[in-house]
This record gives sequence, C-alpha cells and structure tokens, in this order.
Amino acid sequence: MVVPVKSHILLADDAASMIELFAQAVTSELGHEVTVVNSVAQVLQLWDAPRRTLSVSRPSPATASSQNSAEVLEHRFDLAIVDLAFPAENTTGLSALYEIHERSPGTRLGILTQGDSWTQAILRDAWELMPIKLVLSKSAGLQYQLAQIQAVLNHTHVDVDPTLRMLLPAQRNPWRTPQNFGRLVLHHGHVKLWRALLEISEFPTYIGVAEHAGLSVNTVKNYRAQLLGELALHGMKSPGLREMSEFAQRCHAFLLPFLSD
Amino acid sequence: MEELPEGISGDPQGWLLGLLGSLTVVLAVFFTMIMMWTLRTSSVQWWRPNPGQSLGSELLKVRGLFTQLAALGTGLMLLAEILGLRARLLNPLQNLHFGRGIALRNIALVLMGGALVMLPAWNLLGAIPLGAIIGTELAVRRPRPQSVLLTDYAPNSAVTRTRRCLQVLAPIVFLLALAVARVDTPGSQSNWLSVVLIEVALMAACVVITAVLIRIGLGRLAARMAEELMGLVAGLRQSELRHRAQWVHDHLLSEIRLLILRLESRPPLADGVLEQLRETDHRLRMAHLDELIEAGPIRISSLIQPQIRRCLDHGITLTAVPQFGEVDAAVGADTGRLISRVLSGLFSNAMNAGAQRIGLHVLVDSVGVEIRVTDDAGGFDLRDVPVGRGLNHLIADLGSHSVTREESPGGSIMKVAIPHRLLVAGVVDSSVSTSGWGNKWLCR
Repeated sequence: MVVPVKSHILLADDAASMIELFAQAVTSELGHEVTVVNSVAQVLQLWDAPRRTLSVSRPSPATASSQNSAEVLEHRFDLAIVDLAFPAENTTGLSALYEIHERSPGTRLGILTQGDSWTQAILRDAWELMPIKLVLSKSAGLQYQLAQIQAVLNHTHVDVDPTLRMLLPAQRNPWRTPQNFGRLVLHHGHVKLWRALLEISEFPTYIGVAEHAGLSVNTVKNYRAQLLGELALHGMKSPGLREMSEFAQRCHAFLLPFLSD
Repeated sequence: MEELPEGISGDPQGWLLGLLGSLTVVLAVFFTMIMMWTLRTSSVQWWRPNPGQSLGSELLKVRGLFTQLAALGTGLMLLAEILGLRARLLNPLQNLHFGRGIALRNIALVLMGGALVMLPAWNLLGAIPLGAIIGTELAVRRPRPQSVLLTDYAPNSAVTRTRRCLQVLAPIVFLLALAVARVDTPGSQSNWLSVVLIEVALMAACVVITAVLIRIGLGRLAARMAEELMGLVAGLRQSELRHRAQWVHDHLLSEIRLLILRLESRPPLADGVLEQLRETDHRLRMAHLDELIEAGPIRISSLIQPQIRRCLDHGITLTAVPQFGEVDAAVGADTGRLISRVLSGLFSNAMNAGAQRIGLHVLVDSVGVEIRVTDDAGGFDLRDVPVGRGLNHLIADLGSHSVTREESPGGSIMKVAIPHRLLVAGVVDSSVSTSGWGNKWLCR
C-alpha cells in the first residue's frame, strides 16, 4: 500500500470563506497540510516576519521557535496556489507569485482564478514569466481541482483547465523572463517614464506623464518609441501610454528591481 | 472602440491642421525676414537710412540684425502659441498659459516697437507688430457667428474651407506687398501712395495671418480637449460597469460557488439541489457576462467561457476548444450579445439533446465569425425545429444560409456564420495586447 506523502500547501485568496472551505477539503480529502492567507501582504509576512526575529541578538523562547520556523521556511511549501485578483490591496497575485518564487524557488507555483476579463492579462503574464505548474479555474468541480493538485504534488504534468486553456499560449515566449525586464529600462530617462506610468494609475496622457516625470512631451514620445520593440516581445503591438501603464502596474514586481537609482 | 486619446497623439486631422498652421507661420516669418532684408537693401531712397544721421554703417547693420531677430522672436512665439505648446490639456488654467504666451508676445512686440522708435527710418515696419497685435486680439476675443475668421472649429464646413483659403492667401498678400516694394524705384521718393499701400498691405497680411493661425490653434486645442473629455467619460462609464460586473463576480458568484463547494464537500446531497445550484450559477454568469458586454469591448474567449464551464459541470467531455490566439479578438456590445446568443443556443441545443461529447471551433477572419459546435447527440432536421426555440430565432434573424447543420458520426455539426455586414462596421483584427483594452474591435 502506498502511503501518500504529506505535503504543505499555501493557498492565497482574498475570498476568505471560500478558500477556508477549499483548504478544509484539501486537508480532509488529500491529507495535506494547508496554510491559508487572504492577502499578498500576508504572503510576504510568512517569510519576512521570521527574518525580523532573526535579527534579535538574544532571542527569547518565543523568538527561538520563530528562528526554527524560519529555517524551515526556506522550503516550507511544496505548492503555492495563488488567486490573481487582490483588488483591496491594489496589487495582483502575480506579485505574490514573484515574491514566493524569489524567496522559495523550490516551491511549485499554481494559479486559482476565475479567468475573468480583468485577470486575463495577469494570467498570461504569470504563465509566461513564472514557472507555473498548475492553472485551476475557481468554477471547476471540487474533485477535479483536488485531482489536479495531487497530480502536481506527484510531479505529474497537468493540463490547464479547459475554460482557461484558450487564454494561454501553448508555448511560453522564451523572451519573456524576469531578467529581460532590464531591457525595458535602458537609461535613467526610462526609469522616470516607468515610474510616472506606475504612479499615474488611470488615464495617463503624454502631457500628464511628461509633467509627472519632469520630461518634455516629445521626450516621452521618444522614450516610448525606443521601447516599442521590447514591448512587442511582451505581446504589445504599438501600445499607447495607457497600455504601458497597465502593463507596468501588472508587472511592477518585475520592473521595480530595475527602477532603483 | 477607439482607444482613449492620449495627449496630442492620434489625431490625423488635427495633425494636418497643425502642419498647415506651422508651415504658414514659417512662411510668414520667412516672408517677413525677406521683406525686411529687401527693405534694408532696397534702392528706394526713403527706405535707406542716412548714414550721416546715424551711428555709422556698422552700427546700422547691427540695428538691422536686431530688428530681424526681434521679428524672428515674434514669429517663433506666435508659432508656439499656435501649436498650443504652452497649453495644457484638461487643465482649467490652460487659458492662463495661453494668456501667458500672448503676454510674452506683447513684450516682444513692445521691444520691437522700441527698436523701431530708435530707428525712425524703419518705422514702416511697425505695420507688422501692429498687424500681429490686432490679429491676435481679434482671434482671442469671443467669437461672433457672422465672422469668418472667428467662427469655432468645424471640419469640412464652408467656414473652414474659407479659412484654409485665407491661410494660403496670407503669404500671397505678403508677396504682393513685397512686389509693391520692389517696383518702387529710387525716383519715387515722394510717392506717398506707395507708402500707404505697402503699410496697409503689410498690416492686413499680419492681421489675417495672426488671426487665422491663432484661431486654428484654439480650434485644435478645443477639439483635442473635447476628444479627451469624451474619452474620459467613456472610460469612466466602462470603468463603472466593469466595477459592477466585478461586484457581481466577487459577491454573488463567490457566494454561489461557496454553496456549491459546501455541498460538494459534504455529501450526501439532496436530489437535484446541486444541479439546480449549478444552473443558477450559470445563469448568474450569463448575467455577469451581460454586464461585461455592456462595459466595453469584450474578448470572444470571455463569451465562450461560461458555456465550457457549463459543459464541464454537466460532466460533458469537451472534444475541442479554441486555442490561444484564435478567440482573442475583442468585440463590441452588439456583436458580443449576438455571439453569446449563438453560443448559448448551440450549446443548449446539444446539451438538451443529450450530448456527452461537445466540440467548439471558432474562426474569426475578415469574412466574419464562424462558430461550429459538434456533438454526439444524434441527428435532427433544422426544418423541424419548433417555433419559439432559440435556434428558430437564430435562423430567422441570421437567415437559413447562415445557420446550417451537417451530419457527423453519431451527431451533428452545427455551423453559424455571422457575416461581416452584421458586425456593423470595422476591421476584424485578432491582434491584441496583453492589457486587453487596447484592442481593435469588430464593431460597435
């Protein structure tokens, strides 16, 4: 008789009731340990909080236990399944996936999404930029979802949910990597442009961006033109400032490392 | 749907007008400088300063250069005003910026006037700043309906055509003035009529050029502002509808999903409760989809998703679904509703007939949109579809040639072709960006 290996799964979704119930089903049906978080901030705290306790020179018994847990955290989760929409935090699950992968590269990554129009671009970005192993639709049946999770934990290849399959390319774009975001920031002028696009969240205009970035309108136009080729590799054909702003908002986790002075 | 306007880009007509305006101003400055040069070097006696009364010929050259530079500065400032470079769109203070441009112009004109006072032999050139002042003041005053020059921007109207003619005529007036100056000979020093004619021609040309070009600049600004405001209003409306759709998703659908999850995870179930709940879930998703359709361009993939989910919920095997890129095209509200209706009709038809395997193919091209649904539910005759059924309505609306059925092993291939003429207008373009909102769409 094969005894299933107990795995540790991280579930991140802002729909608290639903994800708790889903976690219960995963625990009871599959026998895995599940940690539930309801925000991207909580995802980061899972790693950051113990790190802060490590800096205490004379740890108390409580911090000592945190220290132990911090050591374990390096490869704490076998699988992290993250929702893509976190509207209350003004961020997306893509940031959470990026941070999880940065802190724990060994954790397999999964997505739980409805695939609605406002998450489709995030879904595609996540699919192409991160090593996603599992894409589940929230509307899929429970047994199907559980079977998919178990398959990923067994290192078996699983297909993308049929309702989401048409939203994702069969082949990932090899040019889209977190490292290649550096090509979108070739000089300090581009830093100003991207920062302005990140800070002006709605309806950016050339004049608005130029004022915000302290550049002339023509310079903003030139910078945009310089980036068109690279943006095409991210699936954008001659994007306007609004599309560039949406792209920057979605992928800010990948852009930010290149925007520091 | 057009993408929201961004700044000063994407306005071909405005761009053309701007180019014309710029060219005219450049021509005006060019002709002004030629005029000055001609006058300075002309053999007309009363134009030539008497070196004996001035500070010498070298100083005279410096003065002439100064006058030309002043004229150039004036022209450049007019250019900046006309192109609206000082204006800031959607800024309630934009008029102040425009006013600042006029104030700077006035300062330049005063300086130029001062230079002319210092050079009495050149005072005829005072017609240029005088004409510019009159033209500007006329242009920025409240428009009068009967005025040709001051009527608001209206593309392709008689007024606009007249104004364009004036744009062309203005440099010609300059040329005429130049010609008058050239025909004036050394022997005509006392020809006061020539002097008056030149003065009047110069001033009239300046008035016309300045007023026309500033009105064009103002018209461009107004048109651009109106366009941006319309874009903002449309964007806000879509944003509001999208938020509403998101609310339906986040609250109602999540609640339903929670109930389904509870029932699924805690069997045994009451007979039919789960199915009923799934059907309610589907209907809510369709209502949610209606909201999304109203909220602006929607991808065909979003229209397909609820049907695929419904099939899976009913345990139906999907033999084919569209691949990535095949259904990325975004469509407008009318087309979205039509495609959604076709999908609902074909899927419901197959499911009601007891299909266990369903396949969906969607082809989007320049001809239109073709939707094919294959099933294993046995055959039927389209002519036997009872009146009142969804399929019957589709045939009535699209025509029998657009809704066809073919035999397939154990079932049917239902094909609905939505021709391009029913997509109202526009170009089929499946190229999309990752953002999803900058797409060209099939129709309104």
